[in-house]
Amino acid sequence: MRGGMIASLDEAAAQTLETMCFTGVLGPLNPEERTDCTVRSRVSFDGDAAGVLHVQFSPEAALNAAANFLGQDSEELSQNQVEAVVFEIANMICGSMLSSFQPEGSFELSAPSADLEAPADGRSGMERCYELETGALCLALEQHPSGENRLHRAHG
Amino acid sequence: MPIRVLLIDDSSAMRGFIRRVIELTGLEGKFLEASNGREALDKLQEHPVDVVLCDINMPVMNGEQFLEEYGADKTSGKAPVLIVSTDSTLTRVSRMLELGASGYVRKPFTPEMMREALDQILSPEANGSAACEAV
Repeated sequence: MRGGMIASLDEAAAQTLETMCFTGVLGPLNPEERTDCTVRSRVSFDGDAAGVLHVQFSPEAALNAAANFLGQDSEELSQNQVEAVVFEIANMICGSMLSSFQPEGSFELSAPSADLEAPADGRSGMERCYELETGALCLALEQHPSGENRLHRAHG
Repeated sequence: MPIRVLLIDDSSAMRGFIRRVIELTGLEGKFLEASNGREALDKLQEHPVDVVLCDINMPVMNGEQFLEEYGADKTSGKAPVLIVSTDSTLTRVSRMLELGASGYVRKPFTPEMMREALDQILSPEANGSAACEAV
């Protein structure tokens, strides 16, 4: 199950970045060797699977992804615009991963939000880091028992 | 003649992206925007459109509630609705098509996927009732 989830996460991240942000994933990064991924967002999900996906970009990766998504020069972008795109990317990676991993399942996503703290060591069940054409992206997936998240507002 | 498109998504960044993608595919669009189903229903009363592109999960009124209230189906004569969502599970896709959606594009999507779905929905043969799925 873990292997299937990792494959779904890798595929969702690559597809989202390539099709929506026109930037490629160059390869995996060892979490210990990653650059500082300080632009953080999170999406909770509940249903047949439940948990939290933490999506963490290095600042240059977030800016590049936002500029490409919005079709604007990076110098023109406000912090709010970058944050809005990072939230959308988090939402798409999470929804795409769940749809791929459990195509006959059912789930709800929370509205993406800023992730004020990186997941504590050991709290994340799964961590994947990628070197991008510009900067880095790290994903951390926590899994919870179904129903625990009790989402109030869905997004996506 | 430009196609008149209503974009319903609570993310202005996503509405902007969809607008740009449609233009990239070579279609000329005249766009109206709404951030939820309620706002969309209000706009549709004043402004007829050729196609509605609708997210599912939104505050105030979500995509399912919008479809129920809008009542798009092949006999209604209303503009067809193309769902654009991250959720492409079979359960969700079936549910939205049952409620009257004419097509489904999953996020993330390429310009080609969007163009194919729009072409199917807007073709004269479809008459707003083709259940195309670009998922």
